[in-house]
Amino acid sequence: MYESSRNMASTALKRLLTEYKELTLNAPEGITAGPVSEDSFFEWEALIAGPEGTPYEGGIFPAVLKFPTDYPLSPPTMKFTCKMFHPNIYPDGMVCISILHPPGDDPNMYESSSERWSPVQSVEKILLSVVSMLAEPNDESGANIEACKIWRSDREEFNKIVRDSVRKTLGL
Amino acid sequence: MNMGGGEDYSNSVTSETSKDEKSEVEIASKEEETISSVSGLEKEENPTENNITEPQNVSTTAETAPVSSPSVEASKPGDTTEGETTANAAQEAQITSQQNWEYEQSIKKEVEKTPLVCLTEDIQKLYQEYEQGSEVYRQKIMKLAERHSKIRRCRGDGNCFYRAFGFAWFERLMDSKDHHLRQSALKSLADTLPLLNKAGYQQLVYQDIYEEQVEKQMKAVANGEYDEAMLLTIFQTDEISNYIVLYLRLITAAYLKLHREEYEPFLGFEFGMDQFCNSSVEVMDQEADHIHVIALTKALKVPVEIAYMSGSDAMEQVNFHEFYPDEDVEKGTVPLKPLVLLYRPGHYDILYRRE
Repeated sequence: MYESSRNMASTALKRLLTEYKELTLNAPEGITAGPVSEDSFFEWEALIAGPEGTPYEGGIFPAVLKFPTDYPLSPPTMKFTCKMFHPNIYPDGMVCISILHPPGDDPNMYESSSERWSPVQSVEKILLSVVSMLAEPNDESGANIEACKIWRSDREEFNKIVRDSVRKTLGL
Repeated sequence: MNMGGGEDYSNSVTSETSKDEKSEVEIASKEEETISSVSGLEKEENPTENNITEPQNVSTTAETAPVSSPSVEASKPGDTTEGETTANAAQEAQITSQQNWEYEQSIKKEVEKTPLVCLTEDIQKLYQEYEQGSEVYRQKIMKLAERHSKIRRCRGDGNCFYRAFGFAWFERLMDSKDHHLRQSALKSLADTLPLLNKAGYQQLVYQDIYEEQVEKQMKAVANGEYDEAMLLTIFQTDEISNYIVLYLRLITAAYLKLHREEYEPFLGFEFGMDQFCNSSVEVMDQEADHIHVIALTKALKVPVEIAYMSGSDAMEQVNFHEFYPDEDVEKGTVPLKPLVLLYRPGHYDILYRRE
């Protein structure tokens, strides 16, 4: 049993190493990510820069990704470790986005057209999706009801709340 | 030409003449898709929904095969799939979707009690499964038993087609002891690397799985290192078995993407090929349909015959559908005997012909 879970993890580990190498060589703009420490490749820290032209602009947002031992058969989870006010991010920081869920595993009723988790996705694709999500929230699958409501009804108020919280994260 | 298929071929599908017949099958299943997407259901729920709409029939038994049939679960989702009115269709679709999800989670646990691939059983065991059930099925199994001696069940986890295909293919190569056959299988497998690349997959997605799982196992088979027990162990081991399944899924998806103009018309109107592959091919646990079978057999040049057993038509014969990769194979240039699978609604197992 121990042997078998270790083998499983070795395939996952190898894949994570390859992805890490790839990400260090060709990191997309505004994103960095890598293992928290050399001892645990199954936990990564990511830094995401708020996209330009959005209220998140200027912010640098840290998040933690946790990978299962059968990665990439199953997706990782992603959780912001700073305060994030966004319709698709739970108040505790957990990211709620379709690419982190395989089809069938559907507690959030994502639209059928949205991109899902499959083993051909990658950390890079997840992070890029999260950047687009910051720019364009999806109010079909709300995770933060309060943020959803304000985003829908009072865009200016929403932008103000986000900008204030960005300033706080930066310690200003 | 039928390569030992023999009986009752009036309805059989051969790859050359029967494009239209195939289309009909595809279109039939397409209509179901369209109906459910109108009511707001998602495409990937259809396989499940299909299972659930006929729990009184056979699909529940088929899906959880050796486990005793969960009658409580069977009756629950059945209630919601009929009598929807358009007015609250969307709302009901949501409920159904949530229930489907919970239902899936609950059967998942049951299903996991079955090994990924089982030992062979006498075909009489299959008959016994229906002793309390459908007469049509019993007749069909009797017919099947005339030329098939054994069945090897696979876990009904949505991966059964790929797993059954993989096991049957490896086993056939193991049993054949034919050097030429084994080498040509290794070559077909190696040819999938450029296929995956051409379809636009990143190397990191498939290279390691190919080298360290699939090719490695195939080579061991080709070198005569495995016997049946060993092969079974390999396919019962999650981390090997599942990556073989994944690799077969990737090949299927790559083939469909590279032949999209040919196969896209069979998808629902709202689905492009990339989206279809993302939601129904590349990802684990999503069931295989006709279109997946065609793609995989063509991509690997492995002929497959599938016995279709459904309780719906009253004929006592069993229809075999032949999936032969291309004409060359039918003429016997690649002498691999077709793999034989048994299909019951929502599920695939492996069949063994009498010698």
